[in-house]
Amino acid sequence: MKFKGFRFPERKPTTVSDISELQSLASSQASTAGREAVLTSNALLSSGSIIAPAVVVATSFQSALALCIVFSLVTFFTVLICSFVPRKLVYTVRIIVYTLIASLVYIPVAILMENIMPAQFSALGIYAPLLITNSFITMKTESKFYRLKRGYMTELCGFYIIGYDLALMFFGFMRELLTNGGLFGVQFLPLSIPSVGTVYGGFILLALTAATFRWLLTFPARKRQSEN
Amino acid sequence: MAVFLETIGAAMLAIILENVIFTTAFGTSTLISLSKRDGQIFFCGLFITEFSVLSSMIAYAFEGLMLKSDVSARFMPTLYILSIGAVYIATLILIWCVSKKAFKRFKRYIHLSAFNCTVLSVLFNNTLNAGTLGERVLFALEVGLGFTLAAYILSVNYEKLNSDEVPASFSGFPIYVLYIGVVSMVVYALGR
Repeated sequence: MKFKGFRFPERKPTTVSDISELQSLASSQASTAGREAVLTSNALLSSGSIIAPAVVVATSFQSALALCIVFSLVTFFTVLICSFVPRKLVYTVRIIVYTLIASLVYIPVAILMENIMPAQFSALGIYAPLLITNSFITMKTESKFYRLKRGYMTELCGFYIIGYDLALMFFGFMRELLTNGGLFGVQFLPLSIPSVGTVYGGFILLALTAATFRWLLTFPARKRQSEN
Repeated sequence: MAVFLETIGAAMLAIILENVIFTTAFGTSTLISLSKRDGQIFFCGLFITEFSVLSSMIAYAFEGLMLKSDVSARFMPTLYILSIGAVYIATLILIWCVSKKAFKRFKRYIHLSAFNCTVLSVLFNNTLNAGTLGERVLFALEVGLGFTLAAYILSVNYEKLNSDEVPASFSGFPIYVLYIGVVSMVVYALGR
């Protein structure tokens, strides 16, 4: 599915109906972008991007939240800053510049995290700085984001980040629930599966979550098909 | 000879039991993304090994200088990126000089192999372990070969993983991750 930048009509909107038409077009575009980024092309559950931190360190809701904050800040600001990198530069140099900028953006983010969530940030280990080479920065920028107009690109990038964050927080929540039989140190389920907290447990739970997510996404279409 | 064979055996065991994909998940997304392409994962394994080894050596040369103060230590990720970038450019130039046909064929794999968390994780781990240059090179080799082994294990069952017998909800990404999870469980059990 290809998305093009939003184009205003040549005629300037003067009446209330024109403005509301534009607003409805913009909102429909935003809703399509949001649907694509959060549901159909969800970075974690549909595309399988940035799996390593999810599988290894997102073992609880809080660690998933810390990871989300680092990922969101580093990715969003890097993508935004790198959109100003001239396209005249050869691809090889552009990619180096993108990751270099990401490594610089990471420094204030790390300082911020050390002050607001020190324990959770420290638990992320090297998985936090490794986010500077995440596929949003090294691949999606070239294949998608920078082919769009900057305004729409920023919006879409934001939606993609939110999509990944929501999926990761849900994954962390489920993992903590299954591993400890409860949340935030309070056990309220009669059963706990400690293996879910391991690396292989993370892979298996991620596979099951992604399959369930896809099943739910295709459920309305399958229902319509069976009715016909 | 016995010592040599023992060393080879220990190295093989380390590549399996401390496999970068199955124990730390580094590079899983790259591996899955590559498996959707045209079976050139071995070339990527080769390039990942090359990037890991050479950039480890470059980073080692400047690491002492960077770790002298807390402020410059913050810029270690930048040093790593510059090291990988230097090897990336050098590799592209070298292949272009040797054969333009090979350059055309390999350039996208070189890009995929250079900027991913497998190579970057080697550099981070090398700094954390503070080993000698030889130890760092060995570790980088182990990670690169481990990635190639994981790629091989994935490619062995490529047809089965993509067969029509796989339920629609599991086809593609979920089945790959499930498969990697099962292999990871086996590696975990062997390592105990």
